[in-house]
Amino acid sequence: MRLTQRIELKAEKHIPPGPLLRVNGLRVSFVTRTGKIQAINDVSFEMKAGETFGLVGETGCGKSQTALAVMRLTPEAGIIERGQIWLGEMNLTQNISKEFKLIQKRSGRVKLKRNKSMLDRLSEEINEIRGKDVSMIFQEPMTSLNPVYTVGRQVSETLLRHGMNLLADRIIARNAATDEKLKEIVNAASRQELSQTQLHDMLEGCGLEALEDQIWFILSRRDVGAAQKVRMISNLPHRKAKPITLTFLSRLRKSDGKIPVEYRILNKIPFLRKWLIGALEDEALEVSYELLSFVNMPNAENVLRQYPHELSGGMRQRVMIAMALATRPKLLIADEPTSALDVTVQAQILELLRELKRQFNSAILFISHDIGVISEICDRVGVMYAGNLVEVARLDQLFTEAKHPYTQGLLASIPRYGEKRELLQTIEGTVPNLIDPPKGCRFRTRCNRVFEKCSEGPPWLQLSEEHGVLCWLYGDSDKHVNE
Amino acid sequence: MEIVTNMSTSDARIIHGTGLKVYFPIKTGKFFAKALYVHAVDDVDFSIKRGEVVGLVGESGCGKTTLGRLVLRLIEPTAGQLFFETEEDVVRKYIRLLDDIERSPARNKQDTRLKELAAIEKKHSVFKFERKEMKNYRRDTHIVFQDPNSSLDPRLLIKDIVAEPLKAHHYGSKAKIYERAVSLLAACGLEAQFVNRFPHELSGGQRQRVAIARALAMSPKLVVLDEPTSALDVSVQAQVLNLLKQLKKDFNLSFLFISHHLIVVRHMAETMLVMYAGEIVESGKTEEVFTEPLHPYTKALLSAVPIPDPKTKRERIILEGEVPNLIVPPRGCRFHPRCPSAFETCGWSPEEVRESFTSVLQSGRHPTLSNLPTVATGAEIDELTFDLKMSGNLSENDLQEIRRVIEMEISQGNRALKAVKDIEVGRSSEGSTITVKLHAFKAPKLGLVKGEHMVACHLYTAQEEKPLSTFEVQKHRA
Repeated sequence: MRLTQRIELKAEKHIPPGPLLRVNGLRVSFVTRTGKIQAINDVSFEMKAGETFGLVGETGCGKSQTALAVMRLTPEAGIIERGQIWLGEMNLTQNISKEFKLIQKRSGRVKLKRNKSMLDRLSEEINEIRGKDVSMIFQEPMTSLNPVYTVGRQVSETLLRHGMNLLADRIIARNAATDEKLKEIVNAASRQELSQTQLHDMLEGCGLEALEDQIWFILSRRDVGAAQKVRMISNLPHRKAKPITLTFLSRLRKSDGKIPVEYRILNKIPFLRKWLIGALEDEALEVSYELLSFVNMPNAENVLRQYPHELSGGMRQRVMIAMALATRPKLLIADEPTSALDVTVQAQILELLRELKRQFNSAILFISHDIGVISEICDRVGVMYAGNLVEVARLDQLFTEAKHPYTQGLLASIPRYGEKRELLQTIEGTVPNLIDPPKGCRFRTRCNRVFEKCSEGPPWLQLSEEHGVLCWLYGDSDKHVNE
Repeated sequence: MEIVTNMSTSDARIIHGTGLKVYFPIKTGKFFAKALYVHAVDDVDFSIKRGEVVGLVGESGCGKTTLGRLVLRLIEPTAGQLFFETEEDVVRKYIRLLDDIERSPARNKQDTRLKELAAIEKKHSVFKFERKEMKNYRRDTHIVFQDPNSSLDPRLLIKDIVAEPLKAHHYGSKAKIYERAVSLLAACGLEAQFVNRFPHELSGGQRQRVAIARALAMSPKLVVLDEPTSALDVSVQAQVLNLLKQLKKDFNLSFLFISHHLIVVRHMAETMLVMYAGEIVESGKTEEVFTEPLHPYTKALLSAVPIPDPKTKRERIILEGEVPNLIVPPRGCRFHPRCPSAFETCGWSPEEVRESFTSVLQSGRHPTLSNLPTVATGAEIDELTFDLKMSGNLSENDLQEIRRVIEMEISQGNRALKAVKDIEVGRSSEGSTITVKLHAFKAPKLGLVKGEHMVACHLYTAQEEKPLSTFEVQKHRA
């Protein structure tokens, strides 16, 4: 599908030299009446472009909070105390210290209300990135979709917020196209099956690159025949926008996707707004349709007009994925995307994500408590325990040479598919209370290999390039690299 | 008492259900509207041996929990009987009578067989128990619910929660009751320090231990475990599973272990039942079912289980679509709309076939059909025939072409079209009418394949002679 192919071309051009996502010494706390909960404590990791990084751990170990911190969606009671999050060249935590000062009095208690407007202004800046460069698939598709809006409206919302350029380009390109220019493609399409590169070259020849998505979508449809496809392609130039809309669009394009100053007043008045950006809204719906077809939504055209409650769990999750893909993000965060689904539907969704990975080449931060799911899809895995990242390893390393006692215990406690054991190995005890976590290593209260050194905080030990562990057991003390 | 001694042989069945059905009525709001039902459990037969763990697996909404509750008579069945600790002979006789009646239906109510059936039901069936017998049954069976947060009374102390069933069944003096409660909690891994706490002071795993201790209070013979570990973390899940295994050994319990987590079922259960859309589609020894699944659904289900090992690679069967609507379940085999190996007699309805048929005619995928007149309307005639009214006339050549294309589509894997038996064209002044006849269908019954392995699928049950389709007849002639 062209939608994805273009991303690939684009991605090749601008692969950043450094890592795509760099989280450095992240610490998130929640202030409650009973005390401060240290939800995330010094978490650092990196993700390369196109890589799938899995975060695995038990309930309450800080997996989701890490993801939310990357999206800068930490709930109101939480504070990112320190740490840096870099997305490529962008610092997502630029205002951290400012925010931190604003919401913290000397005593350490939160004073939110007074500085609300200032905080809002700061979070407005992050809105430009959120949903555009990073987007997220949430765990519960029912609660994360809005029940009072149709699916079509919700998917196109992201496009209208971040993808005005894309939409405008599509309309302008359709207007620029004429029957003569498209003749070659129509002829070629009726003669043989076109490949993506062929189409790309032909369109570049006549200067209609922006039509690529639309034509490729028609060509890759499976529900219509060849004759119908040719008819649809030759119809494209006949769907012209009004001249007045075109002037608006070209101005919009010049101002880089923001509503131009002279139109802002019109944009404020409801019925004029409809007249102004109606064409864009229609176009967004069309793109939504393409996106939904791309995520294998059965009967996508009708689903656009349906409400979330009319869809089944798997279909809702597909809508979520379509929304997350709308702006073609560099980083996709999937927070337990299959935990609420049945195994057969889970297999469908994992297959879809794998497909996305192959075609989009986008990086996925995949969070799950199920090691099985993690091993199906991830390249590298981070294991979290009580707010700490205790081990990071390549997927195969994790299963063959897990180092941290917690990782070993976790792997031993799951019933395996192939083998029959009378009793499972267990990790005694439960996750500690994070208001007053054990001093030193947080796992030491449950660890079976605990010794006197564990009462001090263990340093991060990089065993090899891809394998790191947070434990005293490995390496000599002089090898330790303190961060 | 005699019964119990008889039943203590290892192979004896502790519980036996026949023809269990649960239909939940749906309120439509209209007074004269036709009553609709959700077919949650439809004609299920099963049995559990003494000291055995039977796993019940299936996707959400397939009726697992309903069946579990039915076993405890927490809901009343629409039809079917349940026998608990009944002599094998009586159950066998009952089943024989049922089979007999099915073969030659009773003419009137005076039929002796019906009277015999009624007598057995009245005496032995759990669903006919009176108050006193029911109380005994309640003592012998118990349930552990999925979510320990909502199944424990937040206002009772842990010891009171466990003591409650003991009090209800007049176990003994107060001191004796609490002594037992504390010893049960200890057996489930909760020390004396916990007995005076409230549920909210415990962690999820500890709460589930309380629920298990409560279930064991009156030393039941059968315990239904309804997803006992799905609300728990993996490391805690391992603790609870180990506990259950230990308790089963110590108290010689029988478990009905309901779970959607297949690997856990494999770890726990000796026998397993696979449920799909209210019916049991496969049953057998757990190892056999896992190593050699027969039903296409079981195959797909097992292949969808994520294996926590990156080295294991296997072929994955991805099913299309989702669990069907159980208000109007698919006819014939309920799995056929998603089944990758469905064929003629699996129960394709005229509506399903009409959809694919029309889309083949109209899609333009086949250039030879592009000159056909369009389909104006389509209607179902009876359960094996449907009509398509065309806006123009069809020639004999067109008909041949349609037949050829349909055959081609079938060979390309369009499963719904396999059900097409014959295509006829009637001509009139307004336009032609295509009449499509479908193959007769049959619902598959659970049949023995080998050993104890049973499966409900036409692929394995005695192959009857399949009627040849028109296409095949033509081929033979050619």
